[in-house]
Amino acid sequence: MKYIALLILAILLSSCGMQSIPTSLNEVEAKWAEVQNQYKRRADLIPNLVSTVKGYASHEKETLEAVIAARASATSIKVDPTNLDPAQMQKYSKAQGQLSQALGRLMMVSERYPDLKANQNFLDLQSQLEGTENRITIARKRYIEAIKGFNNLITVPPSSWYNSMFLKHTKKPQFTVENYDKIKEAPKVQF
Amino acid sequence: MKALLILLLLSSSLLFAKAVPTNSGPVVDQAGVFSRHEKQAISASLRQLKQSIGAEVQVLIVDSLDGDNIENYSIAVVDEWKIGSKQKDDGVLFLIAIKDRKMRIEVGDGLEGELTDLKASRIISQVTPYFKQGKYRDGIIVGTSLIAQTIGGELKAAPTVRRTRRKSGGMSIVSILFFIIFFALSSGRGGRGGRGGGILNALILGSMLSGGRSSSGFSSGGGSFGGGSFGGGGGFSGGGASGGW
Repeated sequence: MKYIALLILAILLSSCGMQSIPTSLNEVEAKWAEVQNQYKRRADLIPNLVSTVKGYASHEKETLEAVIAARASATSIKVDPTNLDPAQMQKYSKAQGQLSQALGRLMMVSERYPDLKANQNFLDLQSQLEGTENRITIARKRYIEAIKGFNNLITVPPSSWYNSMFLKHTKKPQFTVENYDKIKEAPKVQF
Repeated sequence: MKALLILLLLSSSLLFAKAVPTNSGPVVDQAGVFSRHEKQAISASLRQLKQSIGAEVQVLIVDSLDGDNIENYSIAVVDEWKIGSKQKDDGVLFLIAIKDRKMRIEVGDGLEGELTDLKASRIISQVTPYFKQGKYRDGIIVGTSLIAQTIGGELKAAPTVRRTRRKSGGMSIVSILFFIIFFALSSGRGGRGGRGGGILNALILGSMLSGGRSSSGFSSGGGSFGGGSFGGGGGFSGGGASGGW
């Protein structure tokens, strides 16, 4: 009888989040680290890009400085994976979003300089930047999936019972779109 | 119950932009670019590549992306196929969407050091001219062998890029020069034209496909067809490059 009770307890514990919740939490942390890692990779590319563009389009000072400033503010914010604070995370994604915008403007401006566009170094940097943006997209997608998995575990029974009894985790913030206000309005096409 | 399940599966496949095809071999050609022999020859050399350096390179040719973007679709494919070994994440997918005029080289985590985004984008820019002329077959062979070379191997039994086709596309000054040299050489040596032809072939091909092969047509698989199935659990995180033509 005692053994049966133990067995039932073991089954309950193993199927009710004792393993799956911490595993999933680790997953979330790893995925967030990957997101930051890819953003860092992008930040590392920027100084080279700026100096290449500067050589051809030095009078686009404003755009170049905007990129440098946005990079500085984006790299100054870090979010600790073990403490995904919603406010801090919003700040982080906002700063990265601003950097994306500044970079987008820089790329748009560079369209006006045929010499720059033909420069091999610039082309190389451009393809590296494209690659990094794609990695960021994927890292973010995987983070969102990991968060979803974790939030499901702690809110959907039976694992949620284990959580509310012992672990008491709260839901993790989802990754929000950085420039939501901008996206809300359809882009204006000007000729 | 079963009907419900089928319905559910159907509706879910409708929800997602494009279903990932089954991983039936190293080359999955849904657009019918290759003949059966060519497909076998490329598959055999990709298997040989796997045996010699361990890395898995797969080619997927689709007709259309059905409105999805190529990066999205590509990562969906590699997430399902899991190209490369689980320990080394050494897989590469060369994805071509004919009607969308888009291609992508998706690089596994373990090969990002050798086949960087930059190198991938250079391979794509070498393939683009072929695709622009509608020579998908040639372009894909060139692209795949460049991928193989970049990661430290070679395609041993891939079909050669046809010379006749290249000629019809207009001869470059360089190949005309080669012709002149070749005729000068073969008339000088007399009777050795056959070999000279091989060299010429190699020269022209070599200019397009560094390390190109001198035999015309294609040799069949040769080595064993072993090497197991592709897709051993390799991980991807978005490395590589995309391009259009």
